[in-house]
Amino acid sequence: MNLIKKYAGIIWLLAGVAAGYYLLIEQAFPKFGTGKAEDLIPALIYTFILCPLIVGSLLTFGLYALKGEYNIES
Amino acid sequence: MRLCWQPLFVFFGWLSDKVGRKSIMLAGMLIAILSYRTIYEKMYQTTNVENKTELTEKTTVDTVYSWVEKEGADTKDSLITTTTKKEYADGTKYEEKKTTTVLADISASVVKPEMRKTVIINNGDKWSLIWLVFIQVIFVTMVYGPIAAFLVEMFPTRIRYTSMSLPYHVGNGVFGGLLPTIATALVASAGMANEEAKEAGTTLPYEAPYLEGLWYPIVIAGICFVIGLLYINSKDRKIED
Repeated sequence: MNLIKKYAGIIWLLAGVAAGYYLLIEQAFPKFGTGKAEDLIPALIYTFILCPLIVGSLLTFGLYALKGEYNIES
Repeated sequence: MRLCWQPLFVFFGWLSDKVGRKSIMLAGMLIAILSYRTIYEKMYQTTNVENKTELTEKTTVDTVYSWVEKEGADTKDSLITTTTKKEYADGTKYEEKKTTTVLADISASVVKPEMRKTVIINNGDKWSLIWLVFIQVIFVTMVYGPIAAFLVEMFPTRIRYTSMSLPYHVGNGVFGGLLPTIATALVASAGMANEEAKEAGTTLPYEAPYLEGLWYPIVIAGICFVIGLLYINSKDRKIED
């Protein structure tokens, strides 16, 4: 189980990168360019609220998981 | 309604003392993940008038013409308000109010008509919707019933309140609070993609665009489920350390 936890850290790191790509490149940046208020609000939320929280959390979590911080000593 | 579901918090809290917090909370998340789309599809179809038999003899269409009134401005713009009322065999009533602005200046860009739809459902459908909401409340109570004890048991006293407060409020305030905005944006985005595909004559990318907003709670709950399953130690119940 400890090994799964550790190597799942790579998945969390990749998920963090994928989430950052999806939130910024796929969702936020195209919406910033439209000039519509209904697009600007989600774009701001994606960029300044969700992206730092989700990406930051997944990357930190993945890093610590890879270091074996969540391992249980038998 | 609150009287019906409030005891469930106590029940699942009590049950978590017997069988463990983690199993109940993860079960609540998993059932929610698997059933959200089915429940919301059922809710949508319950209120979808296309599934109902229309009583055409009771359909009325009223059109009212009026001038646009703007304070201090002499305008020749006019409004056409069309109100369509329909009744259905099961007692459902439908009203559609379409307001079109006709600009006097024909060179100006056309204003998109405003549309407001109201569906008044029958008693049976009302109870059906209440039941479908109640089912979801059961999932909520499965997670929320044991959560206070679960969080207390998870962290040592030295950092307990910081460790509990930060993720709890980020989860509730940020992820929960933004749900309506994000879900609406996802639904609108899927609807627009379908509109563009329809205009281009290609296959519609989303079969049910109205369900697209559910991906937000489903993905978040899915991540919480996997992390909870793999990383949370359910055996550490020392709260005095």
